[in-house]
Amino acid sequence: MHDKNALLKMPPFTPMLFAGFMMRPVPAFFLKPVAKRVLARMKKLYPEIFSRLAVLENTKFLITPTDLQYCFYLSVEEGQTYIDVGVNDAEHPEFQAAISGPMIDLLKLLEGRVDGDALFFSRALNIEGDTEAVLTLRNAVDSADVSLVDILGGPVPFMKPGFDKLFSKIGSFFEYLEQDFETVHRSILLPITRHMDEIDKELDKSEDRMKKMDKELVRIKASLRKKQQSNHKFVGGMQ
Amino acid sequence: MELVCPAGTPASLRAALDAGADVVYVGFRDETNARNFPGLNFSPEELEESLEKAHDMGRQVYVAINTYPQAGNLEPWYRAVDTAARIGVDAVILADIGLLDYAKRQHPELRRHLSVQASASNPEAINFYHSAFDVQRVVLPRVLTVHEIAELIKEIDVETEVFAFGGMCVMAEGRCSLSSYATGKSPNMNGVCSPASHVEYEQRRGKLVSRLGEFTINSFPNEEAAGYPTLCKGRFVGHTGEPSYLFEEPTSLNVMMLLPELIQAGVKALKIEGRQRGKAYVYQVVSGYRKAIDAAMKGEPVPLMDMGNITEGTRSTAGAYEKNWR
Repeated sequence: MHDKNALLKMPPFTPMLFAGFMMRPVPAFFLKPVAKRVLARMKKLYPEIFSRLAVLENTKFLITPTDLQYCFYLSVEEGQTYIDVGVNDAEHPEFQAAISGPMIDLLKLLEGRVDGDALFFSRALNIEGDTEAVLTLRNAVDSADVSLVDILGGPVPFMKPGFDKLFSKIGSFFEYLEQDFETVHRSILLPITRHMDEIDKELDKSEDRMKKMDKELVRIKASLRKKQQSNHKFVGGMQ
Repeated sequence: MELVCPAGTPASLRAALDAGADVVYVGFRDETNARNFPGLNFSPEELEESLEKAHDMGRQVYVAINTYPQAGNLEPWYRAVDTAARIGVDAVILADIGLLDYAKRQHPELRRHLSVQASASNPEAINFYHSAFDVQRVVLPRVLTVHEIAELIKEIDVETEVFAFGGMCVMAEGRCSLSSYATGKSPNMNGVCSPASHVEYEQRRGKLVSRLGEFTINSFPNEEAAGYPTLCKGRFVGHTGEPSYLFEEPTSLNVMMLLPELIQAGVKALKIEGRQRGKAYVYQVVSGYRKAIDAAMKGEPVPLMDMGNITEGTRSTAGAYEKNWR
């Protein structure tokens, strides 16, 4: 698969989108060691994920958070899993499967806080390419009780309670922020929504008029047919 | 009433137990169960650990070995039954009469339940399974009304388990080969309906297009909720010229509002479908049904919970349980 634009939908209006704007000056280069460190921690904490992934032979995933400018290349090669970071508007290396969605949903999926099928049904998550590989990845990740707090705060055990509190605060703050963004989003769209509602009402009225005209047409046709039949009978009678 | 819940991984099993499942049902990581999906299911070692955890909490674990053994290749199915018996699971869920016979002869002490895949929906069939293979419970196909279930229970000597929530089939359980026409694999023989290896999704001109094998089976506009890529839930062009759902729409079963009637009918256990779903789904559905069953058993009004976010196509139905089309 080469079509790098295939999965790039309009990003959702979320705080993560603005965080992405602010992070724009940070080159992907600086994020690579962070991603590699996170993967190493995950391998140590959740070996069951990687034993389930090992069945994939040389599979490369493109994982795209739609509200950030970065993307992740996750690859499984000969039983080993690797990660790299790129940017969305660059030419991607060859990949077999692609997953895209808002960053917050991808993180929730990683922690098993949301069901992958549900995200897919609601169209928040897009997948393309090797569906079997995507399912294997989803099931492998879901087989462990992944915790971002444990991944990021685990190296120094006495810091864990502090990390728990910090993450909880950040989580609450982010939820409030998401609600605020939703409100702003709605208010920005309000004039357009109202206009669309008016157009919908007009369309409904037009549809009703069309239906009435259809009925009228059917009635006129039936009455014409009746008249033609009675004319035939009359002409027949004359013969 | 027993709440029987799905788990595709040990983490899902823990989620089900934490959410209040009385029983969790699982499958081995091969074609012997009807959810043979990549990366899913239990190794014997994982099952052993999970069973210990469940028993420590006073709960049970059933193992589904509910596909049909292939001619000339019976070994995986025999091995699955032997392993389940050795580990000491609380029941096996079987469909094939040969396998039921094997289980009865080799492991008479191992409790046997009849899978929905056997499609036993009348007293004669169910009583035969009971007398021939000492089946203790039957999982009823999703084709009966609550009234029919109540009448059936009066005429049989085994416990009944009914589906309460999750995926729907086109009412030909254990008989459906639709998937094999497009992929060569079916749920009955290979444990997979629409195997992922044959499924393809593509974003095309603002639509999500799903394909199974060589067939395009649906095209969802961007704002429309999507469903599973199964042929029975495909949108096809019929005589009208407009694409429409000819068999079944993408929707999930949910009978929460019928709980008092099912209890009244004498149903022994409620089953949640979805071993292929994530632990978030398992936790949400099981918690909801735990509260609903507890309330219904006390004679209190059933607290109806919104499950819209996890249903297929974000819609649900009570299906045949309240059939009103005949």
